[in-house]
Amino acid sequence: MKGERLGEFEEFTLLAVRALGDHTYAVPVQRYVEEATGRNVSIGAVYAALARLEAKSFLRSSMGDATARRGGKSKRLYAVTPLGLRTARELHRVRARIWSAIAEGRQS
Amino acid sequence: MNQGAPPRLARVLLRIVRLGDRRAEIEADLLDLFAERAASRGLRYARRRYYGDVLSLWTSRSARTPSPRATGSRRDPMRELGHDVIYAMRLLRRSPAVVAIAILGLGLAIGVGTSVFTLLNAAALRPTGILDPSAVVRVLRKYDNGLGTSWRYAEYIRLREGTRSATPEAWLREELSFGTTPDGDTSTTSGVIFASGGYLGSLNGRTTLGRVLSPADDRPGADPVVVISHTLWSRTLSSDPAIVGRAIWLNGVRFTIVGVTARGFTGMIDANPAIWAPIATYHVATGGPPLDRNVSATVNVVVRLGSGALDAQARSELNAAAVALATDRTDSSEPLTGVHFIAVGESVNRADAAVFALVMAIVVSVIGLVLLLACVNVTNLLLASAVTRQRELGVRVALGASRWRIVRQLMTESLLLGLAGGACGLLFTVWLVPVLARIARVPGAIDLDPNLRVYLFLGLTSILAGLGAGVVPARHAMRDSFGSPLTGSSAQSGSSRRSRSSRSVLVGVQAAASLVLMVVAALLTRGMVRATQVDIGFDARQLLTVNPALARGRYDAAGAKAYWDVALDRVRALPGVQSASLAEFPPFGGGVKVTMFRNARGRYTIYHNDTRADYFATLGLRAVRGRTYTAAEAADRAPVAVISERLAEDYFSGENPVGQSLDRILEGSHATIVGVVSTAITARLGDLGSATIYQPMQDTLGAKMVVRSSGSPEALVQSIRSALHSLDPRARLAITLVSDGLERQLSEPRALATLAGALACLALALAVVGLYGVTAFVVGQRTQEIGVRMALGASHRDVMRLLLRDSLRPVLFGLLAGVAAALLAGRALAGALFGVPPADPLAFGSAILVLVVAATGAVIFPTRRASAVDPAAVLRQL
Repeated sequence: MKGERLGEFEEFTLLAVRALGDHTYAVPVQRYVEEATGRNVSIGAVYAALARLEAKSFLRSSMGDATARRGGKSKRLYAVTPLGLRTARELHRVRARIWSAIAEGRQS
Repeated sequence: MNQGAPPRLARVLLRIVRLGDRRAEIEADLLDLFAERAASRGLRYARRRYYGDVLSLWTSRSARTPSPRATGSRRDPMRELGHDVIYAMRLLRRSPAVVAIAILGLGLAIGVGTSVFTLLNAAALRPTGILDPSAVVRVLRKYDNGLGTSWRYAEYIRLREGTRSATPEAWLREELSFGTTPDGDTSTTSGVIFASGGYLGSLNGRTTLGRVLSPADDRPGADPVVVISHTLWSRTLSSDPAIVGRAIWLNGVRFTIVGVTARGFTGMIDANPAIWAPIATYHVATGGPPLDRNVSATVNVVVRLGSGALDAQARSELNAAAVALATDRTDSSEPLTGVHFIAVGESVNRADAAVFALVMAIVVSVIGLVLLLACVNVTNLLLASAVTRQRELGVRVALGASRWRIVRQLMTESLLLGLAGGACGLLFTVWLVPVLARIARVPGAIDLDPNLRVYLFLGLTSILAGLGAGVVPARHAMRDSFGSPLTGSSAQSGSSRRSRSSRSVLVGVQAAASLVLMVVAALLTRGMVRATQVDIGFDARQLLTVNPALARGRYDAAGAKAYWDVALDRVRALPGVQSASLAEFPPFGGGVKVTMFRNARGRYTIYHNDTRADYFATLGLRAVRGRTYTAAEAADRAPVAVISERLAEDYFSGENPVGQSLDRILEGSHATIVGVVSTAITARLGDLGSATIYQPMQDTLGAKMVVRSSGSPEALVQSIRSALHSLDPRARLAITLVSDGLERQLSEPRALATLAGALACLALALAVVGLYGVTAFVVGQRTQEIGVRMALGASHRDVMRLLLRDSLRPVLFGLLAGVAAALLAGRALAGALFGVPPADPLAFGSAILVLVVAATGAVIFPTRRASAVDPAAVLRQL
């Protein structure tokens, strides 16, 4: 799976899972991304991103316990894998490097 | 209605997205999101976003279970099917107008069919939810010459005591006011089954939440508890998951909810209740004496039988107990000869079942006919386009496509059309079902949400309609493409004289049918408008009715009179009350007492109303002749009567009816007519000649108070309620505005007009589609003839005139037949037209105009295209 890239929305989703503390599910992720980006995000897009991230081994999922509040329906819980974390960090580093180059360019 | 629930259409859409094994999880996620948004940003926002989310599931593929990818082998049938589908879609996209019309036509027909099926399914076909219905039987009483369903409660106790090897259970149904707060709106009522403790258990009742009733709930003095139906829970209580333990109020008495039944469980088929309560609470909720002392209340008995010997033993024990009851009986009613068992869900009356089967047969054949018409139309349409495709198919055959391959291609196209029509039909169904339910007066307790069977019906009809519409064009295209590949000159082959004339007949029939429906719709619409202008003979705006529903158990005739004497005094003393009186049937209160018979004028209906003397003044009815009866006459129960002006005209034309005997109208009546009052319509708006006989009220037990206010009647509701509450705190006062009752009367013609309008649009759309298809087909086949005519000197206009005349001729014949049929239909409808003449020229004129314009439009496009043909090009092809 090496060499897989992250799209913009996938990156947001991945980071949201991490930010929410691992073992979160689709609903909080949707809310988090919506609030962070300030634009409407459909749940279908979130499911799609989560599924792609899982296929790229950036996330793993497990079924949680059934809770009475959801009428006994259990949740699919997501956690970021080490690979996912590494990839996101790498992306962040690349961006930071470029931004700092831009900043230096302005100063000179 | 479903406040706080996600929108219905979106839920339906969600149900048909392919979600695989993730369905439960995703549905729960969506509900979480919905609840959260509704709480933070309001219901509207939550609903809008819910739609968006459901649609996003449709479009984002990877959210669903991944489908196995087709392998790369050349002869992979799945892959070929995919190609067929893609090719078909491309083809269909090439003629969007034709395809849109075909899909719409099929969709409307499938929608109507599915809607009717949904109602039938809900009302009759939906199973009772009892897992093993054959093991549960109803116990009927057997007489020498018949069967009966009702047992007195005391008799039921004896039956139970006499049966060792099974436990008979009892139930009875009541309609009670229902509220979620102690003093909320009392106008909402709900069917309540009062049942012995083991009743739900013996039907194998299952629950979504909580538990069923148990024998422990049915002890005297036990806390009053209820089990509610899934429908009530999901519709009225917004599927609140924490409902168990909450309270509801039946007739103002507090009950605790202990369970919600599983979806689909309705118990006995002829008693679709919303609430089950222990029979021990019956007298608490209804305010009567306990059941064992209440002689008027009767119960139904069911029993779960064991198997084999146990079954036989239970049957014989029950029989013996019933025979023992018969020997004890001292009253004069018919003697019991034993018991009779019928399976749960079986109709007690065999004639009912036969009538039901007949209705089913009619409904199914009407659905079938509409579908058939739609298919034939789409067939015509496809035929028209098949003409243009002969060349293409010829090329494919020449290049080596097998016969099977071509047929499959054509079938794929028509199946796609059918499925698209089905999807369109589904949307139509979502809109139509509530409309139909209102017209058919389906009780609210019946679950109308589509179940698996409805979806199967929809899917199957879509496929059948698609295939049905595709078969003929496919055969046609096949024959031609094999007969003369590549020449493209075989256009005449399909236009034998016979098939052309049968198509003309079809067009004529459709024109006639749509004209009839349009005339009916126009008449009903005119009737609806007229209904709002009907002069009811009194001012309904400031009238209220007060119904305390005095319970027979607690009041006798004297008690009721005492109640009303005080109640009338108190209400009259209220500021804002102009007058108040009593009547058995207040205006638009729902009940009527009528005498119906045939006389020289045909069917004649006389309404009866027993009133106090000041009722006429309260309503504002003038005495046209003579006088109304006096309070003293009313109190003495004098044999006097007042008749309405209408009745006087019909029976005493010109004579003075005052002083005559009522015997002249109703044989055997000894009352004397003392006066004639102006005619008032108080029961059914459609009954314009409301012939009424008023007589002094004798028994006030069933009376209702009619109050005329001087100001706004709404302002009086609360003061009347508090003035009467202390008089009898247990009485459930129903205070209604007469104008609301009037409004309800108006909603019926409105709903009827809507449905007829929708059906007329459907028929018109189908007729236009059919006409367009036929014209395009026929004109397409006459291209050569047109070319020759033009080469020989015919002008564009001549050709147009010729083609229009030929195409519109069958429409005109249909029109004539339709007018004749519509005249008959109008006469049959006369009762629902509020005085609009059945042969109303406006209705007929507008319907004919619409049909002619639509038909001309449908014909003119293909005709213009055909007449624009280049004669030189045609001649070269000859």
